[in-house]
Amino acid sequence: MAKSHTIKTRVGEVILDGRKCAFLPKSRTLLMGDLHFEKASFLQMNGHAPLPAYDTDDTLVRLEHLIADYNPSHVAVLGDSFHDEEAGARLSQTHFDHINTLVNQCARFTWILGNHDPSIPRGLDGAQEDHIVIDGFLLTHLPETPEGDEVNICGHLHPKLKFKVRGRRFSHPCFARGENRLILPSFGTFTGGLYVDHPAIVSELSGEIHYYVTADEAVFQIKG
Amino acid sequence: MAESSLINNTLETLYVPPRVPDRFKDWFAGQGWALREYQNYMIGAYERREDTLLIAPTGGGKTLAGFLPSLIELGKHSKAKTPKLHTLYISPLRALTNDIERNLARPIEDMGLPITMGIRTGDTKQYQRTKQRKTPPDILLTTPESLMLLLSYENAPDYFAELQMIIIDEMHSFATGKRGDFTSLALARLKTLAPDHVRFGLSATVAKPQDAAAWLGANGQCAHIHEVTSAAKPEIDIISPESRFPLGGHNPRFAVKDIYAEIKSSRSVIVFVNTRAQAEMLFQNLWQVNEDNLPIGLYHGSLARDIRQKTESLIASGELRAVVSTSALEMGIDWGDVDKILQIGAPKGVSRLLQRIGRSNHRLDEPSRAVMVPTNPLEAVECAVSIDAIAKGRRDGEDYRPGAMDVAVQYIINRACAGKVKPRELLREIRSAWPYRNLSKADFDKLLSFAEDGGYALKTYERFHRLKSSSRGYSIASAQQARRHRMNIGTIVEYAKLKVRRMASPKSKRGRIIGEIEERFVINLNPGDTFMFGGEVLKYHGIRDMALQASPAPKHRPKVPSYAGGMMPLSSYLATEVRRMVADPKTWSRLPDQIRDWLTLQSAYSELPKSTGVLVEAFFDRHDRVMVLHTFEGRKVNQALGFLITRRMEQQGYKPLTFTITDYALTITSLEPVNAIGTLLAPDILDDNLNDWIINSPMVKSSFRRIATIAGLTEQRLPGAERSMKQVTFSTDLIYDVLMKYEPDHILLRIAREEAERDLLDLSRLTLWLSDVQGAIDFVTLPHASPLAIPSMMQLGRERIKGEADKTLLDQAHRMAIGDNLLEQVKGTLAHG
Repeated sequence: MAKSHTIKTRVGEVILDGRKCAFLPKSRTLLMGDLHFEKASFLQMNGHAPLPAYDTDDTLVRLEHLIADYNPSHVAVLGDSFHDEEAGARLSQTHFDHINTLVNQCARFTWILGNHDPSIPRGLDGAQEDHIVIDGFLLTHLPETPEGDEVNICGHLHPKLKFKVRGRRFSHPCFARGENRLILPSFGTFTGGLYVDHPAIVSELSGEIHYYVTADEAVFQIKG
Repeated sequence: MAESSLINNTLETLYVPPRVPDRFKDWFAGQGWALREYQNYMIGAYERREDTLLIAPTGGGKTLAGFLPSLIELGKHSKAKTPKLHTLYISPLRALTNDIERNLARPIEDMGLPITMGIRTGDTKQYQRTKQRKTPPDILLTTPESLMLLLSYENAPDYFAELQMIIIDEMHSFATGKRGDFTSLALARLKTLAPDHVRFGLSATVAKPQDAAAWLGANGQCAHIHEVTSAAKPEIDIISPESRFPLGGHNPRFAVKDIYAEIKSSRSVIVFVNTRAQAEMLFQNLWQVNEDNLPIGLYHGSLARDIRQKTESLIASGELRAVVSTSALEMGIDWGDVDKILQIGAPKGVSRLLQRIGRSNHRLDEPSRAVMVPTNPLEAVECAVSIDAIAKGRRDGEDYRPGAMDVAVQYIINRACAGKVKPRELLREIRSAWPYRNLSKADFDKLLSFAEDGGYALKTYERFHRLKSSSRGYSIASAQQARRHRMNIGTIVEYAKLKVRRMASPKSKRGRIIGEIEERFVINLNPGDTFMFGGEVLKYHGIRDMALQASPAPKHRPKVPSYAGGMMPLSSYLATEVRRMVADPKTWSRLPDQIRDWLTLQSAYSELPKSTGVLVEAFFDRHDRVMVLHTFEGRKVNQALGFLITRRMEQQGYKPLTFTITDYALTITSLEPVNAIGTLLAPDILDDNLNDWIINSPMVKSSFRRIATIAGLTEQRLPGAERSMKQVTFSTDLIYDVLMKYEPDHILLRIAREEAERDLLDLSRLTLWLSDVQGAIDFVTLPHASPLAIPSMMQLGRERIKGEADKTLLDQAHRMAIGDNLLEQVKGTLAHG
């Protein structure tokens, strides 16, 4: 059982971590997709009053641990970090401060913007970008066509794999990898998943496809 | 209690028969009927304003007995000045309300009584609802859910103000469960709104009538009991099939010719099965042997309403020779002509079996006739002991339990929708419902706090609350919250379903809706797959407009729907009797020959279970190591034992994979073989921290899902709502995990644990059992499964152990995938080299 698994792409290595993040060792960049801060309070606002709102807390704590473990030079979160445009207004002062502490702890922190969060709540530090390129890795929220030899790493799709091993059914969030693209699992605590056979995912993966399933903080390569 | 029943008896002997108006007597005479003793009794009970539980076997005018007092009283009235609701009829089945309306319409029309009736169920159209609200009928026929909905409106006090009579039909079928708690709370509310009303409960024979009477009575007063016994004992046989009994599973196919012969030799038959899948399959199989083209029908709850109604009227008019049905036909609906019942599979309980058998020969003085068709050997033993039990007059059934807390939360919201309420008032009202008589103030406060905002230590914005509070009490926070609550009223948590649209051919543009099917089943279908539904094989095309589209594919082999359900628990009385019979060859003469042979084979190949101690068999089956413990202690004990023993196995490195329970045995699979029982059944397995183990089990998570839905934490997903990119919903498993981490004492987690412990495990009985079997464990290793183990092995529904085995399997799969990678690398190198 491995906590992480290293894959080789044509532009360099990527470490896939069972805690649903990826790490680019060359640039020491830590990547996470789809944090969806304040999703529970969004649902509360829309009538689901009794939902517990511990998701922001939990997501932040897990993020904090990863930053401590990897000590990255750069953290990039790949969009949909906030569940909706008013999420900032609902963020408690404690969480607000906690985010800024984490951001400022890193030499560089990038918010890639997503469809849920076209901008980042005012007052939060860190750079806001539509996309960035690091050592040939094109980091985006939505899947984007990479130029030349680039490899696209994106979020947005929340891939999840269901499979059987010796008759036993499993269903777990996963990394999904095609010829020139790696899709990260969603990181946020209250985020659901989309099975990888959904057309939205199938249409974004070409060539040989691999799945790396995350379960109990470990990662397993599984044949789809 | 003894005193009041004494007075009751005295009254009965002294009392003068109530005055029945002449036109009623004439009407009865015109039908060729005489007023029955208990119909008379109920008229008197209403005159004395006594809440009364009428216990009578199915048929024979029980429902009419409930309605007669209302008909007499309303018949005297001249046209009312302002119409007010007089009688409320509550039925567990929507279909029953239609039936009752039809049956009541006759006397009302024949006698020209000035009485109006209305039906209010989930099927009632919006304009009818509006009309009913403006002008209430004299008699309203409804379901518990629709009643609760009516109580959630602000005009409820006015609407129910002059209610005189409440009739609760088929009480035995739902009063002991959550739906009973729910109804009980609605009744408590009605007692506040209309203090003078009288309650009648109509019930089939039950094991504990006193409890049922307490449930029915208002304000802590037990209702009176009036019990009618049937003179004639039913005649029940076990089928002797031409072909062999299957060793396991629940498929009656082997006996289809015998079943057909039974149908052919009768006037009209109901063939009861335990699951919808069984109904579909047996229906198909019967038509394959239906040489005489007998009219045979199919009936189950997933079929569309118009199709069910058509079948109902065909049975009522005597046009069907047989109908294959699930429990959906167990209640209500009078079929005059049915002269035989076939019971396919194990009856699971004496009372349930009697209820089903009672569907034949709807006359009290003639015996009902039934033939039982067990589908595996242990079911055959169970059938034999149930026949004995009926002959001895034994009854069983669910026990009444303290009211469910999640249901109380729903009631609190419902009450707050209707207007401001003070906590003190609310608690008093809830406690006046019998199941909640012992609800503590502390628990009530937690429930109220959950209802308000989730009740978390982490406070949420007040503007998101479900309830708002002021000095004058609590009320619903917004119209949106009220709407959301009203759309989710009820205690029946089902899997999401999709409508099934039948297209004449794959190219058709249109089709008609023939029923609904579990979405879980649909997920496993690929276009082109075939399945059985509504008595034919359909080919799946896809999902469009929120419905599954399919067209007939008569020549294909169907992929059988794996419907949920059919796991009715066996009463512990029957479980013990089954063990006694298996252990004692002298009693086998009452069993079919084949079953005797099977038991003889068991005794030759392995051992027979003894009447004390336990037989444990271990063997290898395909991939896995299997151990079967033949406890004969019922599902709850087996479930609890399954948790404990697999935990011990996990500690000792056996890597347990799954366990499966039946009423008779616990079957455990593991990656490593068990060669000796060792300390696996030592009494100290109870000391291990059971709680930690069960809170992580999928079973508790699924009970959490139901509780979370009833308490309004999450909603049932709308049928057919496609998993979209928005991912607004996420599984209750995620919520469960987060709560366990941040608020392990939260009220909903406590309810889920308590419910799992109470309903799914029987720890006290397990403790006794464990001490009983010490020194009396027969551990047998076998090359493969024994005859007795086979039925357990073929049981579906495995509880899965999350532990080392999962990781081992995932690791294996990982190594497989990596192996491929390595080979690909070699190929790549060669290609480039």
